[in-house]
Amino acid sequence: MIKVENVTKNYISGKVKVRALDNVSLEIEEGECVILSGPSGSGKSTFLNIIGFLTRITKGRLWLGDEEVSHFPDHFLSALRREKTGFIFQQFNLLSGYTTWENISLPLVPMGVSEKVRRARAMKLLEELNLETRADFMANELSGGEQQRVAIARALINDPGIILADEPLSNIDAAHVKIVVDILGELKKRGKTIIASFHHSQNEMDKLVDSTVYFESGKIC
Amino acid sequence: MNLPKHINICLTAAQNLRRYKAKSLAIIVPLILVMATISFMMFSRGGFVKDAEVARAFLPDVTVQGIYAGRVGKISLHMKTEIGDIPHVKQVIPRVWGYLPLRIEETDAAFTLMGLDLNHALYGKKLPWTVDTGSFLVPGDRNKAVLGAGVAVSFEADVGDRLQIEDTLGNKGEFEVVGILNDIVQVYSTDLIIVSIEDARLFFGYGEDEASDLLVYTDAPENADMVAWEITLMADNTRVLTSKALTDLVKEAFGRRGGTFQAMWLMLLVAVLLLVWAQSAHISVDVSKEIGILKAVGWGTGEIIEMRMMESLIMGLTGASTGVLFGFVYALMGTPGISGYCIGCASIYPKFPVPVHCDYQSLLLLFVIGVMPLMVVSAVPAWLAGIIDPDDTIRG
Repeated sequence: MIKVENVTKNYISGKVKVRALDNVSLEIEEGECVILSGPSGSGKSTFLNIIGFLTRITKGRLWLGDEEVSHFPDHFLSALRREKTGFIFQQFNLLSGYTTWENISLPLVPMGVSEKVRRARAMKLLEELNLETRADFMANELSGGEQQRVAIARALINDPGIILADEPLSNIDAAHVKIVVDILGELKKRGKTIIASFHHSQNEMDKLVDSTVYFESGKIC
Repeated sequence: MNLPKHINICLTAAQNLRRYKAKSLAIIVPLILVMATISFMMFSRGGFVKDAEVARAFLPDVTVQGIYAGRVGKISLHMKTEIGDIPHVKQVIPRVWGYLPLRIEETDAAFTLMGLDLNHALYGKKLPWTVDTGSFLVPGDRNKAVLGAGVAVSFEADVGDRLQIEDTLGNKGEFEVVGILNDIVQVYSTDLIIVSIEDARLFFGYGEDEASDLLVYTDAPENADMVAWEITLMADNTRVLTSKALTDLVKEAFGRRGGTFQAMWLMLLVAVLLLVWAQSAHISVDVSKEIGILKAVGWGTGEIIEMRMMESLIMGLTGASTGVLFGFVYALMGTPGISGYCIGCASIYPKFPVPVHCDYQSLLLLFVIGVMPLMVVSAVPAWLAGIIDPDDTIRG
């Protein structure tokens, strides 16, 4: 269970304080598929970043299961990101100097997984995502859609319980949308929690979604 | 301790150097140049200082020279008796010597011709010279010479050869080469031609009661300063040098010259460190973003710092080892191109080999200089970027 309680998040942009989230509360049960919806700048990505432990809250409380993790020290948050969550970034955030399979297996490096096992696990995911021929390509040699799928594979490599996806279908064509949605459906079947943000409504996701949360001006409507 | 994790991080760091070749080379190449500069200076300077220390063991306790109008000149032998009467003075031996300005293979050169009183040749067994080939001079030898190893090479002379010398001032002499010195002390062996004091007087035009300097041996080295002071009080027109003062002079000279180079390599080292700093993170948005991504996918700040330090360690060891090796080889080759600046006496010793001295402390210091600053400079920016929330780092 993920529980967000009266969370506020402020950013400092230059000399201006921007309130990205304003006193937001939400509970997401284990195995749920939740869609975060709303216009650009409404706070969806910030909310994802908070529950993905990528940024700290300004005010409020954040729970993961029975544990309040709002004020966990940095190394605990790193461990949570490594073991509990898989994050699919809207901008992919792949490392350009690394090959496709190396990018995918990055989360496994600090877990002490050997290179052989890392490569095998990455190859398995690449096959599922129709990218096996791109394994040894450099990340910057891939198309936008391919990079998106690599980012998805990287989020799944450590078999996390929570999948967080920021606009996961925005850069891929219709044929590959089906592949990604099928993978998310399979993950849901296996009891994974999926939280994804979409700027526009995604009909393809309808059959997976348990609930949709609308954001506007940093608040849940 | 999670050994597989550390092995993975170490391997990833090594692979990063290959992944980012241009960046790695931009750090390693300047580092090699800096380390080569530092190391050849350190090895050469160490060689000079060691040479001076070895030479000191052979120097007389006090050397007395005559001064005329502020310049070194002949000294009268009547001083010998007066100095000999000073308490603690064991022996006073006259010596005649001078420079031989020559032209060898179109190059200005100068050697030292030194005339020794062969009746005192043992000098209390303090002679620095052992003969590699032939024999040393014996009392009564005339028109015979012993050459330093470097001098023999310059003149292409061997034992039994006759050496005709005519310097550019018109002094002439002919000597049979009876021995060639070893090269334990470079400054002696490269420069020196030893003849009898009588031959030297004849060559330089000295009178029977004149010498270039007087070598004073005391009954104990700790009395040297006191004896030197007594001599100074006794005669105004003398320059009195203790062996310690002479050695310190050499050390100080090379210390100062070393200082010029130290300033140079320090600037280079700072330049390399600035480069590493810029490449590491904080200033470089790309590298900072990379740290953010690594954190976002589950790397801890400590693991990122470990990887960055490992990268620096590998680069530092590579750069330092290669640089030190180049520096050592360059020093062994006699620092071609800059030896004149290094030793300041290229015109005196045309084939002077810059002495090289390498010890464990120097090597350790070189590796500390080459590796530690890189590791610190790469760790600090990685830590600064690592303690920021990944979202903020990724967004820059």
